[in-house]
Amino acid sequence: MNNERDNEFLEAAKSTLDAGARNLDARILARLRVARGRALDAVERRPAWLASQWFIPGAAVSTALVMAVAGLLWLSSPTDELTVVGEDSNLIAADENVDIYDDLEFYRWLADENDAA
Amino acid sequence: MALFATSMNNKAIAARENGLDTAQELEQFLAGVERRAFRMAQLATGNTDDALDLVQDAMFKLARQYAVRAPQEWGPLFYQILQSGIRDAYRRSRVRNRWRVWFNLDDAEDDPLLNLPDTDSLGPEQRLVNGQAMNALEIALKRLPLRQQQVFLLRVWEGLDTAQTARAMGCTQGSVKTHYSRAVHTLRTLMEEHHV
Repeated sequence: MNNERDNEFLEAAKSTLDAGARNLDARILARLRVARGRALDAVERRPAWLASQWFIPGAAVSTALVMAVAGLLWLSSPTDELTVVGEDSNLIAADENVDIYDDLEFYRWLADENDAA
Repeated sequence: MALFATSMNNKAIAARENGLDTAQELEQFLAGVERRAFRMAQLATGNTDDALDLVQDAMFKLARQYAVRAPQEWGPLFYQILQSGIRDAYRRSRVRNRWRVWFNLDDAEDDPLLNLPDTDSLGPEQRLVNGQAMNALEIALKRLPLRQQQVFLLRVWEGLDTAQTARAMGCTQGSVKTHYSRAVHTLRTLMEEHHV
């Protein structure tokens, strides 16, 4: 019963509200028409690629890819340089090693002689 | 090469036609909702110019940001934008009113429902169909808390379901149910109390 009364009340309220919306004055209707026109202009002016629903996800994925590639390049390239610099610095720091490299042929010959003996 | 050019041309024509369809569909949608949207904004703000600005802003944002969405999504999206604008306007007006009260710029408020002529002992359903119905319902709606008013109008007038209303208002479905039930109860009570 209460539900039925509620439904009647809601139907009546809706009809009343509809009647109010139908009877808006001409000035308001004109301004609503202008507002609608401006909104539609905004749709027509917008480039299709920008209006696409894939634009934002696409831009996000592209940015993420660029960031990932940049990150990989940044992480990988300095390591190689550091390794080379590290090897060079070992050679430079240890004087005896440089002498060994200079006399490498002599030491090989000496080793062969010892083996032969 | 010629085949490629023809294909691109066809795609451009299709896109343009598609754009026109979207614009036409959107115009129909906006024309269908604009009066109700205006009345909702007017009831919430109590000001015709503010209401028109809110509707214009909602139309513009919908067209600019969501025209590419499926047309069946436009309703909840449009009301989401509009209701958000209404809430912002309401907050601003409350701050303004607080200052006015502090500086005693307003006289004590009259109860507009009490000023309506008393009619007879008909139930509210029958009274809504008479000439005072709009006035009475409008006054009663204005007395509802904003959230209840918004839920009532979206559910009853715009016909949004609970989920769509929750989305439009940025709250939970449980909240919508609570606001709706309270709104219906309060409106009935107000209409009955004042015999309008």
